[in-house]
Amino acid sequence: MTFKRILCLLAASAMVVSIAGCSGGESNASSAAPSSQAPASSAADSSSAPAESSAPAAATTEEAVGFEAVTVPTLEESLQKYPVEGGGKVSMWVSFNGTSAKYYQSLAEDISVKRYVKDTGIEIEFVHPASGQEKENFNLLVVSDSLPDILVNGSTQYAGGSAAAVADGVFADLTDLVSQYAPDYNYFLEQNDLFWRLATTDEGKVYDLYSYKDIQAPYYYRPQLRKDMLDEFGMETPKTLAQLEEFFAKVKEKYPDVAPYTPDKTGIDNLLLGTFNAGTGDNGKKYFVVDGKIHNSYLEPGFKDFLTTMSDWYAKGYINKDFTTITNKEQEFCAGRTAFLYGNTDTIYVLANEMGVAFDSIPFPRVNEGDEFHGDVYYFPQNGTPTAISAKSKNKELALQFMNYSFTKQGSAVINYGDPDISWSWSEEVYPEYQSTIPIYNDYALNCPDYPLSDIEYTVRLHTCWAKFRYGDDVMMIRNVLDPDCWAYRAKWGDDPTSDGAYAMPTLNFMPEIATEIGTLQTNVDTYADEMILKYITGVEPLSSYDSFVAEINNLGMPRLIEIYQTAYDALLNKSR
Amino acid sequence: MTQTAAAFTAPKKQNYWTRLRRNFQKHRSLYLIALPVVAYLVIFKYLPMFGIVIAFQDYRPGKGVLHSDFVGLKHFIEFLTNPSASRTIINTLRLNFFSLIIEFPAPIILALLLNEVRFGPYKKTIQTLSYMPHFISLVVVCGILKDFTMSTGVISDIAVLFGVERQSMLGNVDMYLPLYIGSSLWQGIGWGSILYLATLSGADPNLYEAAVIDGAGRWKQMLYVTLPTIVPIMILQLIMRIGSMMSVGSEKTILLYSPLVYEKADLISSFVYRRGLQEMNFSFGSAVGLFNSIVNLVLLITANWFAKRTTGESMW
Repeated sequence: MTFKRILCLLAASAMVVSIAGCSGGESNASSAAPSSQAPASSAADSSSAPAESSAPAAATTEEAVGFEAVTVPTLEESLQKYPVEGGGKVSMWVSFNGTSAKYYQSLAEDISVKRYVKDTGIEIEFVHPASGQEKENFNLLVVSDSLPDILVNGSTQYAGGSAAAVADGVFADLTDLVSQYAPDYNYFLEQNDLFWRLATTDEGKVYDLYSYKDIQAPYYYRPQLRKDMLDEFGMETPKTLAQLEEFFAKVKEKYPDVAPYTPDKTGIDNLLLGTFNAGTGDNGKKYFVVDGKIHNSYLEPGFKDFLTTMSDWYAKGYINKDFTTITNKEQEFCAGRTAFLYGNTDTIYVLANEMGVAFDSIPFPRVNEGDEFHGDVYYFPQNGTPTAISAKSKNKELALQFMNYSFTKQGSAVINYGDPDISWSWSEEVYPEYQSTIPIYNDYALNCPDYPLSDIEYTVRLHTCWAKFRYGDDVMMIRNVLDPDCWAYRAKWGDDPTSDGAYAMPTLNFMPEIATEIGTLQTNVDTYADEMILKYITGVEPLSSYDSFVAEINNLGMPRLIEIYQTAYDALLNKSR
Repeated sequence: MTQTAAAFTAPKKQNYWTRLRRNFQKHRSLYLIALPVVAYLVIFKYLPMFGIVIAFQDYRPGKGVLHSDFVGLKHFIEFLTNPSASRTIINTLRLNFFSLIIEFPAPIILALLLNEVRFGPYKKTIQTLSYMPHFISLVVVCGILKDFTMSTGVISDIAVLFGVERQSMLGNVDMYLPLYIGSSLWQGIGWGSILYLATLSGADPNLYEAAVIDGAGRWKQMLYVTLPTIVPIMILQLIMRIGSMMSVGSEKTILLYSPLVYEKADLISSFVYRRGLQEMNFSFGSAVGLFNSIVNLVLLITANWFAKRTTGESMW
């Protein structure tokens, strides 16, 4: 937990500095709301007495960095005035959501975007790649020298990411422009140290604008099982692997046609890796941080325990024989073909209710009851959607002014919630998570006559578009506001005090040549590991050869990969402004 | 062929360009008809060949072909020294070899069988039904195959009747290749036979009459009249298939395989796809593509030479 501790120190020192300076005084004074008071003081304590801060629940990263410093600036506070004087027109490359495409030809016809254009006084022209052809389209535009001004998620389409794109003269270096033309985005960079670390390069350069969201919400992926079967067996909610296995055994006995457990098709549910202290978070990611050191799941002692358990379950017939070919586990669960899975709670909630299947989520299973669990997902404030500006653009300043509006109170409300004249108005009271009033949907949005509920998040409002200040899904998504039970279902075990995301790995920045090296080594490791893991689970390969698996992973370059990640991670912690 | 060649070479004194001009004046409309095809070949096949140069560069789209760093054979060496390289090459050749010995003769046999059917409507129905699967998208075929071979699928149900253990068949290394080739056979056999049937319909009836007079039965007629009629087209098809051995099979493999069957299923192309997709490493992809093309060319020339030596038939 050194990462947390360092962040505590950083936050605390940042606060001391800001209190000392006159400019920061106001933002701190205004933060004296009850919810933010406690974390602020705990962070301060930890800096004076580091020994005490090691209690795991005392200071999570979010408490350490705190949201008290970053309230979304209002237009009145903003240094940038809207509508922008003189106006103008910018172009944007952004993929077009399939739901929007049912109703519009382009995002320019979207309600939120129309309002946004009106407010900023900047016209926008969209270039939408065909769905599934984003990569080809983007690189074609690069080669033909016809990139639009603003490039949403461009860095994920360009080999080597934004560092390479800037080096090759594709993206503009925005470092010197941001403070002047995107003052409110800059405010977030200045105020939230963790955000600054994650959203800039190792040298502190700004190549992309990122979405900002500093709300910890329970992860939408949860272990879930058939409630009716559990009740029928007269069992309590399983809390340990042994109890879970007992459930599997009874399912197998009573319902021979139902597969007790359908794992991810790679054989690994990362959250189950967390049970063995061998991984964290989203499926596919195999790196995590323990006490400031980068670990890889494949080399963890717990990983062998994981494989042993899985192959044991497979041999006993608890695991779906077809798991390698199943792409939609939730569908499988709701059709009654499997009794347990790690899956999307929202999907299960909607689909299972529709199909009349009883379901319930359970806490992350532990080896021994009450074990600490560090493999949960942690939401870092850098919330994705990297939005860059083309190096050849003639409208860099205007493009930044356009983007900046998404980081003001009024602008972010429009781009998150829709048009205030149509679908929402400001709340009466101040919401402590945001230190501000927030938009509240009106009757039109909640009983929308024009769009079906399934399409509403991309019509009445715009769920994702470009980098912006984001609100929590619980207050922002119409579906969750309408049906709080869906959210409650997701959040059911979210307050488990022995579970946290301490192992979570932030997104790291790599230099272009390092990115290529990672690619080469990682493909070799993955090709070997993916195959062997499935063979171990299905029993094709006996676990007695596990030592040679570890040796081969090392041989294929894992030590070098860990070294690369460690260097990048250290750079993230150590860089200074 | 020899006749036209003789006519062509008759005025030996004139040079190539004079002959070309003459020929052009004589067959103006023919040249005009050929123009779109020639343009297609030049624009889409010959001009892009200059792009091969990126196989020898660390190509960056932002820098372009002209300014990217030249790295020589780096990407070729990287591919050939990769731990997966030998396996993917062997898998590619194995898959294509078995595809060849099973899928190549099958349409010929079907065509020969259909050729013997004398009842018109029956023949037409069989023909139509057999080439129908060709029109189903590969994605759909693979989706169906995946469903049917799940442990609860129809094909599994049938296999269980023959004493095979109930399992996810596509996840079994030993069953992957038969399923892959079997489904290709089902999808391609009818379509493949059309070419042979068309050739057969042009067979000289006099030859059959002569054979009957000589006392040949149906089997002998087939052996000595029908088969020789399609030999040239058979050889041509065979040579072309051998010439594309290294590059076919990627789409279907990517749709069907899982890490569990990498051992037999991972091809050069699927490996490059996995790597290329993750990193957008265009140079690496081009280098492997070029490597494949060179091997294909060598195979093609060898097959052509061999066919010429043994049967006298060849592409050139």
